[in-house]
Amino acid sequence: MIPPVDLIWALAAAVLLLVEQVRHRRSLRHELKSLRTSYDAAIHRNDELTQASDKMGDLYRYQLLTSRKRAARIKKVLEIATSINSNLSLDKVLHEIVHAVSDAAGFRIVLLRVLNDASGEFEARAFAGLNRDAIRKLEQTRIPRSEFESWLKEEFRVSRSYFISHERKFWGEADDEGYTPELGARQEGEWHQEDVLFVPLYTKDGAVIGYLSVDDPVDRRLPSRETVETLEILATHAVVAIQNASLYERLNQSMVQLQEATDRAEELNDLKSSFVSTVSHELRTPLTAIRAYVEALLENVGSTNVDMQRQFLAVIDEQSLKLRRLIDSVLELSQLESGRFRMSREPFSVTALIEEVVVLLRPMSDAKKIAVQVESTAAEIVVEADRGLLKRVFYNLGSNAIKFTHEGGTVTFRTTTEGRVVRVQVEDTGIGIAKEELERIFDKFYQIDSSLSREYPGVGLGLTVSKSIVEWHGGEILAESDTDIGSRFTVLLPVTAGDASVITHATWSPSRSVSDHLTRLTVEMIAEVMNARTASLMLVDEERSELYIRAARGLREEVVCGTRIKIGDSIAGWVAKHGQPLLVTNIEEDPRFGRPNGHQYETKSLLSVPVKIDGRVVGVININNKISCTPFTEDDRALLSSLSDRVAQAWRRVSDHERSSDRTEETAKALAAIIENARRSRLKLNSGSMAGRAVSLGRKLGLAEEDVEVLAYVASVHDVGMGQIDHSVLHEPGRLDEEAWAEVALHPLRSAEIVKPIEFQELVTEIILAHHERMDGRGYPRGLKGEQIPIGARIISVLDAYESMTIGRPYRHAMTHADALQELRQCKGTQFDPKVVEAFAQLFESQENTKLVRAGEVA
Amino acid sequence: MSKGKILVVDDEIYIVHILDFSLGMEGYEVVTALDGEQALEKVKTEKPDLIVLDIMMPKLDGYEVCKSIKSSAATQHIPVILLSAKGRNVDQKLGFDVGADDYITKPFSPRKLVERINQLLGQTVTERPTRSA
Repeated sequence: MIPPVDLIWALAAAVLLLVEQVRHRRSLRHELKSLRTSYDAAIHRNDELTQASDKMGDLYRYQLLTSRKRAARIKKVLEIATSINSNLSLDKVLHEIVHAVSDAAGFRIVLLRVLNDASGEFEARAFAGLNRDAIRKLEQTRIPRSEFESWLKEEFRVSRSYFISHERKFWGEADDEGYTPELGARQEGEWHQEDVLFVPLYTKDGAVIGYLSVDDPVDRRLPSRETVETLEILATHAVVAIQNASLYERLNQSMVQLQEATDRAEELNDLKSSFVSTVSHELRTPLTAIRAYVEALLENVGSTNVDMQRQFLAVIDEQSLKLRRLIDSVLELSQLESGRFRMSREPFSVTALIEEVVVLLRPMSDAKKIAVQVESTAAEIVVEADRGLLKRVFYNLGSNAIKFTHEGGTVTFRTTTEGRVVRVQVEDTGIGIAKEELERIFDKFYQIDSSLSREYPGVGLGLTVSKSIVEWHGGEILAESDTDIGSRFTVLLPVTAGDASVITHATWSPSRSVSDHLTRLTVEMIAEVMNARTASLMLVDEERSELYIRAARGLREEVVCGTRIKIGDSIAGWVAKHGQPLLVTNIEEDPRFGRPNGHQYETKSLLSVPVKIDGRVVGVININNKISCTPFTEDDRALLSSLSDRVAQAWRRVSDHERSSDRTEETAKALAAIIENARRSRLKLNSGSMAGRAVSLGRKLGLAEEDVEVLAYVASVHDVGMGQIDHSVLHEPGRLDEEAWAEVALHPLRSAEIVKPIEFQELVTEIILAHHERMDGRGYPRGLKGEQIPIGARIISVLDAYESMTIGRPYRHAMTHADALQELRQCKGTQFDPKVVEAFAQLFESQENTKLVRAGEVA
Repeated sequence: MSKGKILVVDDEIYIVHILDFSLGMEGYEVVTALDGEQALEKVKTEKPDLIVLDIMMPKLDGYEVCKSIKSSAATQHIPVILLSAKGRNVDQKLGFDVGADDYITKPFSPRKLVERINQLLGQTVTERPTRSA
């Protein structure tokens, strides 16, 4: 008999899917409609403006007849008018306007300022006749609206412009910078260098959106009324251009949005409909068999052929089971994908779980005489995850491996740990997967060549479900394969939720120009260099005066997406408001921010620093959970501040040149190299403290705080260039041969080159380049001597030598602290700066001994 | 005495079995194929009187097979019934475009399929007690 429940299930699921589909389409249609309305409105506005502009053209044509001299100028104006309409980049148009003003009205110097609505200040946007320094200075000075309004005195007014002659002593007093204008006598009718003539840019409604300011007339005469009027005509054009351009900008933006929304809608729609049609097809297949066999049974109900009846019932039974499995998988997948899924994490042993799975797989593997092997680097490897879900994943991978392996083959489960990540590999000696298929195997219902589906039955959702589960844990699943040799699936799982990889939260923000990829690398870089398990990057949402998390490592997705902090509130808010770093040693006892420790923080210490671009706070970097479990110190603060400056530099560079993917790539490369360097140096025993030692030593030697921060940073990155050197060179036993030596000698140059894209202080490059120079001039790469070597480099040189002596290199055994210190002293004056060596000895004479004992215990 | 020879093509073995059973009960001789290539082979060697053809199959799909049968002078007279889970109008249209004589969507009733086959082959429907499922 048919289990009717299964049939109902099947139909209910199909109906549910269809209903969801219809609802989704309806909301998309709505979204599209509203976008289209705003698009139409924008087009309409533009038409209006074009008409207005045409009318103005008529006016000019009339004026053209009035005077010859004027005609020449107005012709130019008209040329510009055309270019305003055909040229959509505002800066370009404004540039042409100021040059037209210069040509047509005869002023060598022209400046155009545009009001920034958000800040209420006039910003210099276009210039004629000014050199680069002057332009930069003008760009830096912003004129507040109130100051501008104070100039609009009736007594200065000429037509709709303002002429402030120097006799009015408008600038009579010395200004802020102590500059007193020279107020000599004026020759009759001549322009004086302290005269000011400016034309406000009025909109139709009389609002001011900017102004033109002119100086240095070609004829050296006081401006005539005609000149002023010419300026005013040009000013009207600037107004149209500015409004036109901003309209176009908005129009373009909404068109891009419309396009994106349409694309997204179409993509989603395609995905959904292909999913729905595949599901319905997959549901029909077993259903068809069931119906056909049921009908045949009913028609032959009187038959005495019991074997036939039994056979038919077996088919119905099997097919209904298949249907049920299919429905379960579809429902499960839709739950996983909609995020309505509850995951319960608990610590358990992966190795034990795999043993369990292998037992479950035994009937399958025995039937095909396949040997299932289990390997692991430790008897017990514990993770915090959803045990039931992971069991499904390993079962899926295991049964797939057996399914696609010939009789007598081998399937291996291999479990290893790598830092805070557990790696489980399921390897088989089966038929393999062709390269072009590999990309699609995680797709829903995908089976390698559907002809195999008869030989290897399955619903084709196993890998998709597995992938969803692993990704829900913040992990990753990878597939490698060679046809006819076998396949290997690798599951990477974070040991705890907090070890998950970086999660980014995409939301609209002015900094969207910094890509997800770069943001992710930034957070990764900070976490790695700072040796912190948790790191987050918050951005300022200026409109709402809030901070939100752009990306984080070690935080749950809900936290990343759901956190919003008012500027001024809590720790990050304080940092954003004051633009100062904040170091909290024990959150529970801190008088300012005392509160119970959040469960996501294993240690009670945290560190937050602002990210500033041009003196403005644009974000906050927070780190928690130092891997060593000790509290953060002032040394960490110096290092993180320094990193934050580099982050700001990287962003500025990338967003200044938004469209330059080269710059993004260079920046990404620099960050990746620093991440790799940090990971590499963590393998050494007592490293990581190098930045800390650099800070202490720098302070002891009386360096400025700013230079100490630089030193902390350089200590962390000075060897990034080593990553490019062939490993075999470094691990060659015995002394380095000449070629290898040349390779090594290049590394300061390489390091400097790698960090260049995120560097803005020459000092950093200088120190990196010079950290292998010697006092006696026999160092590399430049052979600098004594004081020629920057003090920072002399410090890093001592620390680097000390580190390599006490850690040992492939060509040299590790020394004790005392021996190393002895060696440093012997080389002072020749290799090292004596005063650095002495300061080092005083600082670490006692401390270091205890540290080494501790390190020795660990080893 | 066989009423005629019918080629059943489907990659789902259960479907092939049940059609074999139902058509056999009706007095037809049944030959089977599990994919498109096999189907074309069997058309040549077995010279069936009618073909029941699934669409979604590995190697060569039903449309291709049908097109090939209908474009060869030797075989174009053989009636083809397409049998498919693809139930949309476009799928049906495509089926008729490639020359199919009928299009039946899955899930289907074997009884009704037999009736269609009888009609296409000009056979009278055999009286059998029927029970609607």
